Amino acid sequence: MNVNEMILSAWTSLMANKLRSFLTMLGILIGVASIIAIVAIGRGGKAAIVSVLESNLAQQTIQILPTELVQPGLPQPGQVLSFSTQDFAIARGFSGVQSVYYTLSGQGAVSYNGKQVNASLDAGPSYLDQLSHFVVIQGRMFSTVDVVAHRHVGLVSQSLAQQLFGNVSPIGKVVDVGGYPMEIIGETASTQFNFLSGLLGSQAFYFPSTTCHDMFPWWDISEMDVQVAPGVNKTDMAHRIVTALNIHAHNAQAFEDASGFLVGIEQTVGKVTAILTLIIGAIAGIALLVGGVGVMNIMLVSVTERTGEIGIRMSLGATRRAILFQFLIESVMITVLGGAVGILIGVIGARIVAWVTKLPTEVSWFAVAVGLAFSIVIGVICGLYPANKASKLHPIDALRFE
Amino acid sequence: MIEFNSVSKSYQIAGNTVPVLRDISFTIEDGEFVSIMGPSGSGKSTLMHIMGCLDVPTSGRVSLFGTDIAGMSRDELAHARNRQIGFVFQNFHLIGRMTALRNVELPLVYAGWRRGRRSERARSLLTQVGLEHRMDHYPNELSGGQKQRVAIARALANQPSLILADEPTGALDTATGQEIMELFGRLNSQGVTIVVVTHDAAVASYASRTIYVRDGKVVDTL
Repeated sequence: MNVNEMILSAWTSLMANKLRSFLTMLGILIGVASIIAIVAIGRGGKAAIVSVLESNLAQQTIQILPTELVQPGLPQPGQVLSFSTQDFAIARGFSGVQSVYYTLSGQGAVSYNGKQVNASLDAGPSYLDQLSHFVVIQGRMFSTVDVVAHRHVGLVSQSLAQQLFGNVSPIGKVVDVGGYPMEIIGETASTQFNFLSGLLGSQAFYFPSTTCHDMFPWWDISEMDVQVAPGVNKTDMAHRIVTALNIHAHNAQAFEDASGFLVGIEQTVGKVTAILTLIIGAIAGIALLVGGVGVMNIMLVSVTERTGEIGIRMSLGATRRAILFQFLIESVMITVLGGAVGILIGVIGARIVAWVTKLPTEVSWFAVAVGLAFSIVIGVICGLYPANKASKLHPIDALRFE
Repeated sequence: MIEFNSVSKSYQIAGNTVPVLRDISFTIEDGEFVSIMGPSGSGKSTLMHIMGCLDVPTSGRVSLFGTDIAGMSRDELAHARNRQIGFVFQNFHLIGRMTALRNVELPLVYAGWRRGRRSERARSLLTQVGLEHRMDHYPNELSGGQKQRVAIARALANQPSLILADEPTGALDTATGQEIMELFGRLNSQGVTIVVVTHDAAVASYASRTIYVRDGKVVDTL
């Protein structure tokens, strides 16, 4: 009896009992589908977090932080918490450095005509729009001159404008920020929709970093961003600047290149998602195990029900091996079909999650292969005992069975 | 030629040895039409099982077309059932979720025939028993007589040397039973050895010779 024949025969008997075959498959189906979907969501989530972190770190930008911020702990005596004006001058002195800027951010009240809205205050250089991912939809962005002149001008995000002014254009209005009058010169919209900006509020006020430093001098300048010219080795430049800053501060560990810090975050995110994937994967594994027990149970029932048929087949010349393979292939067919449909549903499920939550998902072909391999293994293991039982029946006893 | 030489068979039931066949000897020549008659409990079913390679004797020799079946392995017995013997049972024993054609193909499947040849052979067999219009019907769509014809076609699939029928008319009405027995007669005239196990004298009358069995022994008359 050849393999094609056995597969056709197994298919016939599964089709003879469609509902039961489907219900038996369900355990495997759910187990495999959840493994595929969970791994896809986990990988996608990790990729999303990493891409957000990386997108905030522009291509040719070095971020330098005071060491304390890189390695949190008790402040040491003589620890540097904020960059000084001289530090910026030192960094600007390097050839290959295009520009050095700092950004400041905090929370504060923006009020107009008695209305007060809490917003994120985001201050930076004239190209803050590229760093914070927004576009000016009305009015203009503040210029280098605005920054150098410490002008009290700023831009409001669409939703902040909506809350303060309703449908009236915000351009030219003067709002109060931290007790200072600020003239609104533009309105912005976010260019990047990711789940972080989706979760965080989008009421924002953007203004020059110099002005911000004047208004809130107690805000630490806790970050220095250095843009290097194309072709300049970032790591090398970062090392040179950090060394110079440390010499100036008379502290060998005053400042540090933040890229290591970001790598650390990426690794932590990776670990957390790996652990979560493992835990949920284990739960899905239990579902597979339960599914396998279900398959075994139904195969045992099937052998008992079809004892008469086994007797007929034996009387027609079926060998023990032929009977064994007949039931084994049936069992494997159930689990493989369950696994295949499970993969399909897992992939579709991951897509649906991606669509609903706007989280990207990434189907792992390794997980697909593992799911399929698991299905086959479960089919063989759970089919072996019932199939063996069937093949050991005595032809006369089997024939007499009613 | 089928030769039974001092064949005995006993079963172990709850620690006791229960003899079913005692010292049975007879010979059936090739091409014969023989009936085996006996009341229920006489051991004729066990006799048929041994002749059909479904069981092995406890002692004695059974020679089936020149080979001794005592001491054959399960696979060798399966092979003998597949090639040498065609069974026809009282309850037809067709597989319900397969069409008449697929049922007839089964012995050919186990003999390793390719699908095309197999289907061709099964069709010709079903035509031979007068079921050319019922090939794709399932057993529950067939009458008792039609089911038994399918079973006979299936029994003939591998051109066996012996057709072994166990109460082939037991589940049929008299007229249908007669048709089936006439079919056996025709097959016998084509040279197939036929052994019918029955307790019905009318059925036994189609055979050219009757072997009587009572209390596990061959007797001259009942």
